[in-house]
Amino acid sequence: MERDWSMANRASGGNARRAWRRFKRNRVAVIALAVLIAIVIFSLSAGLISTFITGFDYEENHLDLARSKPGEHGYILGSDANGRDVLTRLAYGGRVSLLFATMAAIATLLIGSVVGMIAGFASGWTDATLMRFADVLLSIPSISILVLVSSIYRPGYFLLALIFSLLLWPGISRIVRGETISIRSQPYIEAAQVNGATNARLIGRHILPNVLPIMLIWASQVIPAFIITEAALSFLGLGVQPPRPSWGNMLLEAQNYYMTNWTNVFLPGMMIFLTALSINLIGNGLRDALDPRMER
Amino acid sequence: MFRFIVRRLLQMIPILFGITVITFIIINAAGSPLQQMEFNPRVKPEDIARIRHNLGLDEPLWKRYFIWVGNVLQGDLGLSLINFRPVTERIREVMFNTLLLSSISITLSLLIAVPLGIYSATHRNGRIDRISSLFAVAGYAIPTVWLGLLLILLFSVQFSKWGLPSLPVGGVRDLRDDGGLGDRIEHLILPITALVLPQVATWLFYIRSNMLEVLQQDYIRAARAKGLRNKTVLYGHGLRNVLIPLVTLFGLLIPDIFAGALVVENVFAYPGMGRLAITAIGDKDHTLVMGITLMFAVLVIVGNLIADVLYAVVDPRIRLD
Repeated sequence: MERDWSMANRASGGNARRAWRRFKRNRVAVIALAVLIAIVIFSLSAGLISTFITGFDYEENHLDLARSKPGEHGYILGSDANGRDVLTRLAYGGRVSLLFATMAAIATLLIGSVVGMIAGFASGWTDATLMRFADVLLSIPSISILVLVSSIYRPGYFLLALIFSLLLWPGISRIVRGETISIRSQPYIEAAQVNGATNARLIGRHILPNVLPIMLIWASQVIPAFIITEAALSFLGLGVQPPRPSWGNMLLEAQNYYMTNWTNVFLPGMMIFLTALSINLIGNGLRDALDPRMER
Repeated sequence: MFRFIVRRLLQMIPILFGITVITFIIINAAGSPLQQMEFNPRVKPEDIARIRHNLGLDEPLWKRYFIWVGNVLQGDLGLSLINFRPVTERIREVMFNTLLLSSISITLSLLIAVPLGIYSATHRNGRIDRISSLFAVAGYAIPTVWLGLLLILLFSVQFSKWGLPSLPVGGVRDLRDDGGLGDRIEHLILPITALVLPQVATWLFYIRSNMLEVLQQDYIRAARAKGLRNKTVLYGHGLRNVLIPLVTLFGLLIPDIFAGALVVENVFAYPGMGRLAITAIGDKDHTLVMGITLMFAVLVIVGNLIADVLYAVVDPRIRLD
């Protein structure tokens, strides 16, 4: 028995290492990973940037120096309509956008995969009830609910992430359910069952590790989508509220004077674009690395 | 087929019921639309009470909901709380604009994505394939808001600065002189581009990967082996089978398309349902919000129904009854 465990562990460790080796060979994905790491470091060190590089706080107004062009009056990337430093706000805004999208993705994954695994594993009426519920949620235009809820309650980004996950879990739950059903019918599951494995153990030990790669790939597709949706909501004035910056509300603010300061529109959008693009490319690399059968 | 459509229409009822109940609760939990008046010292409390009574806001919540449902069943969505014009009228004014925007963008993006996706799949790793794959990845990651603003920056602001013919910044028609159809089209170019690029990206990705998968199937080899022309194999055998997953995708993308329209309408000040929705929410115009939510839900569900019917058209193995 002892030896079996170590073998299993070594095999899975080997899988991860092999996947990493395949991932490394994908030059585009590696560059994307580097870009993403740079963006994450930039956002996480927002406080440092504010103290040591720009010398501005993110909500520090200088109305007399409003709408400075990049390089003017000590604003490295210019200032906005309130004379707030754009570089500092980009860093803090990145923190908000990244944190929000990650939290929303994790919450959605948690709800969706738990529901999906339960539905796929239990089958019968449990499955039918859960999936009917998911169908109803899928046919509700979630954007209208999102707009409504966020306009009325002005949630912080933590609550907004929770609302996202409550509305958007059905997508991943369907995928996980399908995968669970196909794994369930494999002989090794039957073997484990014969050996007296409990349901919890079957899910945790056999099904979850098999579903995990799909969940990872799904996350790599949905995090950019969440970042973009949050930006759209903030652009409509419904997401993160100023003076707290987010890339989306910086766009909203800057669209009032794009004639004079086009960089203020360009920069936050570029950050969203680069983040979304790099995560997507990493996701593509992951898919190729995790699923060698799928040659693209 | 007919029985299927009727059954699906009946299934719409609980979904519409659910979404309107949720909307009704959310919007009413935020407080009365008369809240602003309560803080205004010039408005007398008895006036507020009278207005509240006239608007029917003094009834209990559940009763108001059923009154609303009763009216909706008779085709009456109520009066807008801001200017007391019928909600149906206000929606009808802008609904055409939104449907125009979404239907043109769907058609256009399919017209671009289908041939391009098939070409990419058949000429895998060729130059066109690489460019279109790059475009698909970029288009998927580009925020619609930003794309819209960049388009305005380039084609409206910079072009007019450079003295080139420039496109209008927003709206649907030139207010100074109405140039007829040409003017309408001019105003549609930028919003539609902002909608089409991300859509093409999504379609392209799925069409290419599905086509690649289909091309490896045995029936394609069989068709080739019996000496059919390449075009017949690709379009008769290949495309027919690619269409099936695409129809599913179409159903799933409909909410996205309306969400995109919501954003684009607000970037380009385009008077459509999305813009009206944001205005109505800002105004706390409860009846208008309810009406728009209902219309959006109906559009999404009808779109899904169309997708399901198309499903049976595309795949003769599927019997809907």
